[in-house]
Amino acid sequence: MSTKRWMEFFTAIFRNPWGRILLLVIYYLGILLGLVYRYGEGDLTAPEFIYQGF
Amino acid sequence: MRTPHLVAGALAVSLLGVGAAAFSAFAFFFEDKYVHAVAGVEHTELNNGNVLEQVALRQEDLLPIYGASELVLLETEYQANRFFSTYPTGFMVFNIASKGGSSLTTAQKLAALGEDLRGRKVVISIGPAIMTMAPYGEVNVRHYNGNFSPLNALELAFSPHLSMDTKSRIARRMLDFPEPLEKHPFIRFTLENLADLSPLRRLAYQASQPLGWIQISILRLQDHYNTVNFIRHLSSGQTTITRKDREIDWESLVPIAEKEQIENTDSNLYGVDNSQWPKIKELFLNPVPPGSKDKEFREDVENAREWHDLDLALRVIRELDAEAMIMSSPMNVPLWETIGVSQEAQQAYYDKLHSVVAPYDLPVIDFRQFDSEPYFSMDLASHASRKGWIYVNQALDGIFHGDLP
Repeated sequence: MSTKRWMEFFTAIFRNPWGRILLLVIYYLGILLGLVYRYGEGDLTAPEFIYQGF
Repeated sequence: MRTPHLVAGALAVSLLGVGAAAFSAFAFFFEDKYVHAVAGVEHTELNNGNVLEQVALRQEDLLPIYGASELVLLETEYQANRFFSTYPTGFMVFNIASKGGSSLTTAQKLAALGEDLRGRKVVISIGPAIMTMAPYGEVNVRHYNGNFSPLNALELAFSPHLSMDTKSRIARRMLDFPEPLEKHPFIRFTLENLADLSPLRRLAYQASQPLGWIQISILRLQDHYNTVNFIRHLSSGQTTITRKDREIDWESLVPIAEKEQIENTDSNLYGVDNSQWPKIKELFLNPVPPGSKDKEFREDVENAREWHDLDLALRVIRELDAEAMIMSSPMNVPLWETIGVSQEAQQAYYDKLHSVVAPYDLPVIDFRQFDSEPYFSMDLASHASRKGWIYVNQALDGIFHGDLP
């Protein structure tokens, strides 16, 4: 589909209240998943550790 | 609809929550399936999490053992996590020990387990090294920092199972080590609130609880991810558990392990393991008469801060109602005598140990009957030798099967 057709497709969905909700859910979910991907692995590793023994 | 963004945002967050819950459920199932495999391999990289410890606590045939270098320093087939790897008497240890571990770290680890610890049999291994050798009898800052876990710290701080008094005492102690908190301002804020407990601080602590629980949930998910990822990278050989019932002839193993230990001490005349000798040989350049250092030794042992930290760990154990056993390495009497501390003075360690544990009414195994046994310990810090491990394993076997204490 051309860009114009895509725009028409999304505009049509956006005009429908439930379609708008669906698109917004996808939009927000995308943001959240992006944040999870970026920061989700976390850092449970300890600082650099040098065992000095006794 | 007048608030589509609000509805969509709430739905997206809900969907993410459902996904996270589903992943957690899958992770628990996966970890439960492979926890025995992890018990058999070196897994110190999971030590800063706690989800696998929770899973291990639920297994009838795993004996969790908390401790420090005395459990991991000497890599030998006699180490408990290798010795029992085929479940010869029906169980295996789940080793939760790391080099540089201390009672303060253990207190946080145990606190993080909360209700899972109630009624569970666990072994708390300690050694005299910090109390007798470290400056002020205090855990080395680098060692504490290296073992710091944000997840355990937060679980302790917001634990609903511990009294505010205990949390406050531990928080005050944790604030003595500010470096690992630099990266975690929220944990520092929480600990400062707990340490003070003035009405305003208490209010701030209560107000920050929701944020604390969100943070804990995220860290738990990350812990699950790390654990699942760790298990996925185990080889098929590592995930295959071979169980072989057999009677262990402890008495016949002792001379075999002793012979191996003697072969590993040929660099010196003091029975110190070759791996440890270079670290301490300066101490033996000019041997002094036994007794000449008794006064300093007794003062050091009496005033060691590690006892205070052990008391904190014992408080956690009591409040969480764990069935804990305290297992201490013995002094290495002949070696300490060589550097000026008489056998009589060395008894101060056992006396203090028992006086600290006594109020909590927990059983103590101190192995003092072996403190003059040649080659039981491999160094001045009482790390068990190959021969020592045989006796330790025998004790662990007795603990698991209820024959000890």
